[in-house]
Amino acid sequence: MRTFFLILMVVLLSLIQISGLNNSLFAITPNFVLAGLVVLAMLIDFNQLIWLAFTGGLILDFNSSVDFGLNTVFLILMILVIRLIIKTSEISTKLIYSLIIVGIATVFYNLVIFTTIIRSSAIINPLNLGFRLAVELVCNLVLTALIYWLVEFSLAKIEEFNKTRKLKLS
Amino acid sequence: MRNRVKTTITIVLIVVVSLILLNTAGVLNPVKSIIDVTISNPVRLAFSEVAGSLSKSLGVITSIGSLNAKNTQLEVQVTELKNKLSELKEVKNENDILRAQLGFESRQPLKTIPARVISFEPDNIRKFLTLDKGSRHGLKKGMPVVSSGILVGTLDEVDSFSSKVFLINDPEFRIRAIGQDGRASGIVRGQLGQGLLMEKIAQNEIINLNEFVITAGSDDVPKGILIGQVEGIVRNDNAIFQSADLKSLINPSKLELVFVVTEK
Repeated sequence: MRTFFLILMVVLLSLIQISGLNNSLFAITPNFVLAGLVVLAMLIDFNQLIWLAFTGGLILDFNSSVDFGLNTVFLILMILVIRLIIKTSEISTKLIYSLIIVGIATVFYNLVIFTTIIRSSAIINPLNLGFRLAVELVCNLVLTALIYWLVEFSLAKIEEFNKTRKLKLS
Repeated sequence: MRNRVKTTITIVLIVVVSLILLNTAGVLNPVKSIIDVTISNPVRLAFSEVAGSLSKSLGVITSIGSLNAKNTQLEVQVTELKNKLSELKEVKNENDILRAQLGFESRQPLKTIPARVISFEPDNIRKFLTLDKGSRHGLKKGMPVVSSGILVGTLDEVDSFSSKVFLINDPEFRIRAIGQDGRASGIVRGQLGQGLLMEKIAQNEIINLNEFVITAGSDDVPKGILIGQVEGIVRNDNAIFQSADLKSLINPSKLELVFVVTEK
């Protein structure tokens, strides 16, 4: 049930990200998948997480105009970096860490996508680019806090349900 | 435990690299088509529709204060447009008579195929959207896509049952265009997060504020499709060219149904 919930969550987040439910605030798309995966990285097993990153990345890649695989590779690399951070440092406040990582990953992700157009003579207003990045950053941070609360609550409920079921069976 | 993690990483990386290679070689295309028809298109369409209606509801709530003023403004605009329409009908009649006398062929309406928007680009830099029609429905790369007669973009990638539209506001989009009144020609480009820019307009050509800009006509794009309206002109006496800022007349991120122009 837990695995099913996690897969469903990542698929839903990916579908929301490509659905166009994003155009109310300066036509900025918050990065639902990124926020979701960073939150999950703080709460679940790494082996599960890497497959979830693969699933989310693949859905985004099928709907993206950038080189195929870029989203998947980015998300997997991000998960590997988070694992390295978790292993090497003592994390006590997971939400704060999630927010910091989402902030850094948002900037980095935009830079990666930006490199796909920087080759051309595209007209880019740095002020506008900065503003859009700032709005996306704020959206992603709020989203991360929301997802964190939602996932923590849902996982606790699932644990509770599993325990009750085990007790009933025994 | 450590070995298990290493194995997972290795398997995932092998799968990812294989998928990238298979996609580059075009081997994934038939699989993509099957996924598109059976799962992907219906699910994406359903999500897009739900998202569209939620977005609209949110829009109504946030704009409720300004609705009255906008309504009055639109009523005035409707009256003006009605007058203009009756004038244009007269002009059309005259035009038809003159064309008949000169033996010119009358203008044929564009042949279009309707397509629904099923997904948007997941990032905030590139501007593409995916349609639920593909090569099986007669779509080809380069065909223009319009909404309410206004240019939305051109088809960039066409799969069997879906296609990607290169939107007019993407920073890499370019199209030849002319001003409707002064006939000044130039190139319209998308600007990241801003409107459109018409550049390479010769200094001796005339372009005015509020003038409409239309496509100049090229291989697949017919002449005369509305692109935008001039809202600013940048003219420098020392420069070879002048440029104009255009206001796009549609919001590509709110589109639900578009029309692909299949024949000029």
